[in-house]
Amino acid sequence: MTREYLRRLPRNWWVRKATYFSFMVRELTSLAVAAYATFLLVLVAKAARQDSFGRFFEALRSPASIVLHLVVLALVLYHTITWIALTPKILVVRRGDEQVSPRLIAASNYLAWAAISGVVAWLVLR
Amino acid sequence: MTGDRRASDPFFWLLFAAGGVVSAMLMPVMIVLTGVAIPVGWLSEAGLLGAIRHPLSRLVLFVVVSLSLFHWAHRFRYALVDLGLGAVGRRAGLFYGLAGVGTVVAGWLFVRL
Amino acid sequence: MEPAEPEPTDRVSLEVFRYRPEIEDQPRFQVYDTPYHSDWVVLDALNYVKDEVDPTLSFRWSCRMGVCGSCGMMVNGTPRLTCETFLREYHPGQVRVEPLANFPVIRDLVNNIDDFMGKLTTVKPWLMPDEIKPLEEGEYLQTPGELARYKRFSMCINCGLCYAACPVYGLDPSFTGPAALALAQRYNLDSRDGGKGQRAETVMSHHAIWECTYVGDCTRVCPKDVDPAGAIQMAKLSYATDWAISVLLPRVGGRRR
Repeated sequence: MTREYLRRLPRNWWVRKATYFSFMVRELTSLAVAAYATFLLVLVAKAARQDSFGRFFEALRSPASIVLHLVVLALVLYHTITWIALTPKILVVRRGDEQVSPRLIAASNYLAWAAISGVVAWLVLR
Repeated sequence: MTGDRRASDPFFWLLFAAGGVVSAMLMPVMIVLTGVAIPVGWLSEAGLLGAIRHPLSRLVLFVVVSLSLFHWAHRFRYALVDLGLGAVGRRAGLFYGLAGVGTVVAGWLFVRL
Repeated sequence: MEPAEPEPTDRVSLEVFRYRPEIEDQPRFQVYDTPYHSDWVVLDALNYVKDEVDPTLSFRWSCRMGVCGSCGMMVNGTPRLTCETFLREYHPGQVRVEPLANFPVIRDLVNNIDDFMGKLTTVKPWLMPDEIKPLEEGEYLQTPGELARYKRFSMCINCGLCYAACPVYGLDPSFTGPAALALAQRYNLDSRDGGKGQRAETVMSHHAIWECTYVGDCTRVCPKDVDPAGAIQMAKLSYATDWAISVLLPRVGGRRR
């Protein structure tokens, strides 16, 4: 009986191939999602105390806040775009004999995203 | 292998999926609102407070916060496993527990508001 | 006088993984200089080496037309069927040939794929109809539309490239893996089958669908366009929904597909 040779997956497997790397970036966008969720918690906590909310609101106008928001936005947008792009893989819809085109499923999800965003923006800004 | 079925698997996966949908659909516009609309002047302090206090938005915010945290918990712990940090990633209670704490805090805050 | 046809001067350099446990403990790479033809595949070059240069080189192959699944190897780091991988894709660059990743190496380019083969049987890959019809009643009928639901997942040739591409399997060999789970879904979606619940024993296991993090490279390398990643995601939603219904509405009968 001869000895078999085992090759381990290298620890840095995810930087060695473009598809692996973009996968890992996609997974790590969850940190941005959690970060903003935590921010929302802080926002609501501050909103409960009227006296200090003014200072918090001013902080949201600082360049640091804008930069942080834009970084988080970029990551969350990557999450949104990859999530919707993969939706047709999991939501396979059949109408009779035919399968609904995956492009159509993705497109309607992007449309829904645009509509929901529009409604939220309108409700908050009016 | 065969037979190691855990009810926690589909349960937390469903929470991850729901959180993924909710954060994908609602977070970008929220980030633009708190990160751009405020500095640019489209959203005033009074407007923001009014928006937060509305009962509908309190419910929506609670759902977004809670599900987003569970989405992170599931995705991030599996990312840690894939990164070779399985010793940490496999401690499921750590991550879902944090999401649970966030959910409780959110519930308390939104009720108190 | 017409000049004679020039000798083919085009050559290609093949860097091949060698492992001969009867000679040495460690593997090494051996470089072979082979002819290049624009219509040659990597398998042609390997067979040239074995026939003309070094008969000790071991590798698997059979149909040489992409249907048997025997000749899977890593070509320049990507799992490929060597009978379908043209040298011209890499020429004049060097072509590096290695055994499939994530499987033990028996010798040279030959892997031990017993783990993969074993996993295929754990998903019960046979029809389990709700009611077995007696022979006299004839065949189980199926419309083209019903066939279309699972046909893609039935195209697997068991080549193992997806396991070589999957980092989850590379990190944890107890992961059931893409081909096995796609095969389970092939039967779950078959209108003649009623065995989804019985397959749950394997498919719902902690090391099955839930371990997949949808890297998606299994689908990228599949030579038969099976899309195992898609099959697994469908299975996640399908089994999770079944589970939720069984918890929330235990008395709801009927099987969901």
